[in-house]
Amino acid sequence: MIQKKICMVGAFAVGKTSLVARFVESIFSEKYHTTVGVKIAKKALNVGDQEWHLILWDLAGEDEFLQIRTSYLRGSAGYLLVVDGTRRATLDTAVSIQQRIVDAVGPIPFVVLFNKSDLTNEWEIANDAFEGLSHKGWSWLKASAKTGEGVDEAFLTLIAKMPEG
Amino acid sequence: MSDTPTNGITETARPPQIPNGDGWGELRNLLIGPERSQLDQLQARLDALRVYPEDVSQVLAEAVHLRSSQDKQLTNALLPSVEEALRASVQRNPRVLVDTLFPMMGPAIRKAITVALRSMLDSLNSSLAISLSLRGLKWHWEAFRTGKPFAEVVLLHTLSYRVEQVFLIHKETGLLLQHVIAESVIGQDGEMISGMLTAIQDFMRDSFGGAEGESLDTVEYGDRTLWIEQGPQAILAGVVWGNAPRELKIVFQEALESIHFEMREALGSFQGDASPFTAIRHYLEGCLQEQFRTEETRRSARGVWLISAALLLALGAWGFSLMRSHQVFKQAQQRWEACLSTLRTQPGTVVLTVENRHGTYVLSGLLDPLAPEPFTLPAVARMCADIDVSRQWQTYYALHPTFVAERARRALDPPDTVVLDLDNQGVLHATGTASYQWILEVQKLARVIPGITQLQTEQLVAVDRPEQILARAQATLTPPSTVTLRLDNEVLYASGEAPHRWLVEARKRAPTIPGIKWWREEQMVDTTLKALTVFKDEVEKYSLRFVKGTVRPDTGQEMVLPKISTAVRQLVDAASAVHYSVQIEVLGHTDKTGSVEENLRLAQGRAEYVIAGLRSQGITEINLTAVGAGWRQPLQGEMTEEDRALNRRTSLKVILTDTLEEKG
Repeated sequence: MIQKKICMVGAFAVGKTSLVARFVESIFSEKYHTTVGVKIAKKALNVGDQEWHLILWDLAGEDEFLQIRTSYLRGSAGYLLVVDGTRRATLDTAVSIQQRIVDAVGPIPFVVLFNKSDLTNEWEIANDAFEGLSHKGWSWLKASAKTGEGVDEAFLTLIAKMPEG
Repeated sequence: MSDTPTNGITETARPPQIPNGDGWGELRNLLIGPERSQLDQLQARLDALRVYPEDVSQVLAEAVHLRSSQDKQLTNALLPSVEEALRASVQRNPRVLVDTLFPMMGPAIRKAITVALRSMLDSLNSSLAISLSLRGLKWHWEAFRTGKPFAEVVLLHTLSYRVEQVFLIHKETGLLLQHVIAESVIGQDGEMISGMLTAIQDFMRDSFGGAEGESLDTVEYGDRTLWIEQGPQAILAGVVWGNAPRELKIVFQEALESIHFEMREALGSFQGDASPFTAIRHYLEGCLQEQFRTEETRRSARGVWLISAALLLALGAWGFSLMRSHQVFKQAQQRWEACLSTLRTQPGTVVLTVENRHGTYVLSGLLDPLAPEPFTLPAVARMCADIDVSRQWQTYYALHPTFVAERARRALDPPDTVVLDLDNQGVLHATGTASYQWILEVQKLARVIPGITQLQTEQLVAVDRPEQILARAQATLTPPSTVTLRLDNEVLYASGEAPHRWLVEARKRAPTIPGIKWWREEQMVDTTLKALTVFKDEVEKYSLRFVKGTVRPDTGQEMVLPKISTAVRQLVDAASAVHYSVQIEVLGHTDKTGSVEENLRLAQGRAEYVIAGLRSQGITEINLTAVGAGWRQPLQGEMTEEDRALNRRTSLKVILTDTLEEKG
């Protein structure tokens, strides 16, 4: 069994908590976000014969009043950068966060997760944006906390980006 | 250079010739050859930098001693080798190890068994104590109320402290390396807790600052404390319930040090695979310490044993009594009835009321002080055994002859010479001899003894000496100084003068004095009567003469009647002073001439004349009787007319009567 510390970061109200609530297990309540600023959850996965326990540090969403604590990313094996597909501004926030993370802890694997993929009518992210990310070498996925689409793939993609060992 | 030697070097010791070209090298060999060889050897050792066994053997013992006193790293380092060596030894020949350990095995096994047995007994005692005590019931209620398992509630109350969980956490990632949980403690997901704990530490550091080395050491929450020991690469966190001693921290620190020593490489290269850390799990288990409040448990266990025994006894008794209750109840009822019947026949005991109050008979009645408490009588005690009877006795005096006689005997305390006998009418007969003093007291006391109607002492003889009896007579009769008393053979002789009243009293009382049977007063003069006789004679000397054939006084007799009146007055006054009544018979006389009838009528008339005269003179309070005597009581023979004139008269006869004597 391999444990990995994974952080989930993103702008405020991008749906991180919904992803966590539906597809991972946690023993801690929401109030940790407003007090400590982080909530720990766990996602168990099997990759081949290997069992993985991803210890998710679900960091409180960033807004104009609160920046994420990058110190929480120390020791992380990777992170999920969550974007709300229905709000273009959240992608900008994600990019900003990513840069600060690199500044704080260096380049570590990450995957951009465009949440709310089920809300196609309200989708604000244009295809050129995805191309721009791919051009930067960023991995990205569309996911839906509602349908479960792309959630496990996101974790698996992240695992795949991690160095062996 | 000449061939002549310039120093002490001989031919045979002559140095070798220096060859051309290599001559200097040859010379150097000759001069420092041996030293150079040694230097080469030293150079070779320095180049090789090898540790030689010989060198190590010189300092090994000191080095082992020094390091062992500093920490446990040497032990930890040697442990795998020693274990492997032991394993190899056992595989090759187990006998060697068995023989070596044999002297230790016996005591060790005995000790282990003793400890196990004691632990089992303690556990049994604790279980009993907890299950049966009030405290146990309280804990059952608490378990029910809080929804916790009973065992957990018991642990919480009996533990002094307990390390419930220990986490070994990778410092950089916050990932869990090892996690141990004490028995019966329910633990949450260790991986998530490790993460959260790390997050909180980061939060504290970020929020409140602090140097790099500073960290969160202790978190207290209710009864629990989180101890956090920081190592360079790992954190040891323990959840402690209760008040653990500070020494336990040292256990944590040593465990963390040992883990760092043994797992230095694994910690440094940790990439999420915690399986190598299973090898150091025992360090965490060593931190799972606990301590119970053993003393209190034992004390209460003793109490509970006693309570348990009492409860078992009570239950047994209850069951037994239930089984036999009906039979026993009937038997008890019959015995109680018999007991009551016996009580009712007991002299000196009166049963008034009997009530049954919740199985206890409440009996109220009367009890003579001389009667025994009836329940102390063997017959009653036997019948009323096992019957709960509450008695309320009130004192009374029984009139049963046995008790009256005994009561008289106790009150009068008769001497051995006296026999007391009570008849059916309640008359106490005293017979025999006793002192006058005792007889006197008895006569007073007997009347107040309940059940005694009368005391008969006629058969009782006072056995005092004559002078005592005479003194008693003197004291009883109190004679005036003119009287002398003399005792002679139970006869009391009185002589001298005394008033009539004393004589009357002495006459009555003397025979009642113990030791005196008879009273004699021939030698006594009644001074009262003697005085009255003077007045009586004065009255009786008067006679009133009458004219012949009439009831008219003779000439010159007018002054006689007032004189009689005066004499009578004096007599009456003197007599009434000594309680005597006076009666006077007035006798009328005639001479012999004339008929008898005429004379009787005449005599009657003359007597009535005098009475009428006395009444008119004021003599009204006494009895005056007219008696016509006629001629039968002549004053003198009638030889002459003068003689007949003397016989025509009235005479007076005084009768004195003691009024007190008549009444008495």
